[in-house]
Amino acid sequence: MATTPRIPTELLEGYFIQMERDETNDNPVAAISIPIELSRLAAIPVRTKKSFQLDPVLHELIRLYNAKVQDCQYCQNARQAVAVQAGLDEDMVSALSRFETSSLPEPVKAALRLTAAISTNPGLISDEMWEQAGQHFTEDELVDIVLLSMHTTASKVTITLGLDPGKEASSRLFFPTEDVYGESPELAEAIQELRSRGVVVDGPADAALPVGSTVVAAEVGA
Amino acid sequence: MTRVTSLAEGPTELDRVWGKRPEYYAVFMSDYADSIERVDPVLLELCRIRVAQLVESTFDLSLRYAPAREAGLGEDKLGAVADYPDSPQFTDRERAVLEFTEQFVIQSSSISDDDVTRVQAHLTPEEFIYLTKALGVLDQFSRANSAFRLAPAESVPPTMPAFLVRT
Repeated sequence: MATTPRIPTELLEGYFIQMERDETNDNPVAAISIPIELSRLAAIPVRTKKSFQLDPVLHELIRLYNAKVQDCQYCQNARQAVAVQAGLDEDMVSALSRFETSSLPEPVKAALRLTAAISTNPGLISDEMWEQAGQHFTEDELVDIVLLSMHTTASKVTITLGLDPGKEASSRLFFPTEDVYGESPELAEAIQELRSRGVVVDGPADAALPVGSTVVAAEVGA
Repeated sequence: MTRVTSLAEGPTELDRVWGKRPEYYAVFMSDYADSIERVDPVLLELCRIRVAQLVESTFDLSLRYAPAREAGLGEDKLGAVADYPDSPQFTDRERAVLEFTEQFVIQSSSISDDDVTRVQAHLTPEEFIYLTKALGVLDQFSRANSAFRLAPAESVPPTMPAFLVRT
């Protein structure tokens, strides 16, 4: 545990930041975690037919922006393997905290303006800001940007309770085939489609990936 | 009216906007309902209104949580929520919880151990856990509704059966 729990340890047994909600799980702490099905539907770590439908690099930049703003160590360490192969690099990740003056592409900036307003005060989203983003994204994508920006603030509960699992607990690279992401037909179909395009969808959490893979190794314990 | 123009089918604006992602909407609302139900209804409603004020969600401000009304929470007190530090209508427990709520909404990573100790003096460990989880879903829901600029509710969305439209 990276931080000090603010609730009695006997109430914590079996807790993790995301947990399955189904009849096979009678663990009471599941009630305060993020339902993992919700993350799957938010296209973490890969989009499926029923999930949000954003470009993987943009998706990961939104997720990592909130990981930084909310100060979730567990979330900040991880990189969606699909996004890395689609061109996400560490310079882009470093640019997030000052994205407005960075060299990130204009569409990414337009999306991050929405994400930033949602995490501070969404009342600040002006019609101009919405329309500007609409020059780069369809309205369906704008809805997904809002919902993903909101979804990735869910770590606030974990952090407030003093339960951030810490960066040691997350895989530097995470793949859709990990056990926790389930076995739905939609996921199987999405994975098959990615494989057919040559995307690596399973592998070691810290090994190099082909094409466009510039991810750096995790600094465990640093 | 919402700024989203291409809408899904549904009885209310909430359903027509969130219904563009129907599976996500269903799971989120189920977690929302389960999470708020675990908190004292009057405390929950005071927090819900304060969250909606801070993130400027007119939709959330237009609803009322029925169990809180049944427990005697009226419009006089709800109208004083923004003035909770000074208003005589609030108990010490309510003030501590509302202060914690504001910290959670504005920057949860800045909540100190002392801040937690102060609110925990008024809550059992279980109450503290369930309050924090409820604040999580209230905060998320209001933020999205504010970003979509949902209009005040004219009728109760079927996904929010515990609520009434403010009259």
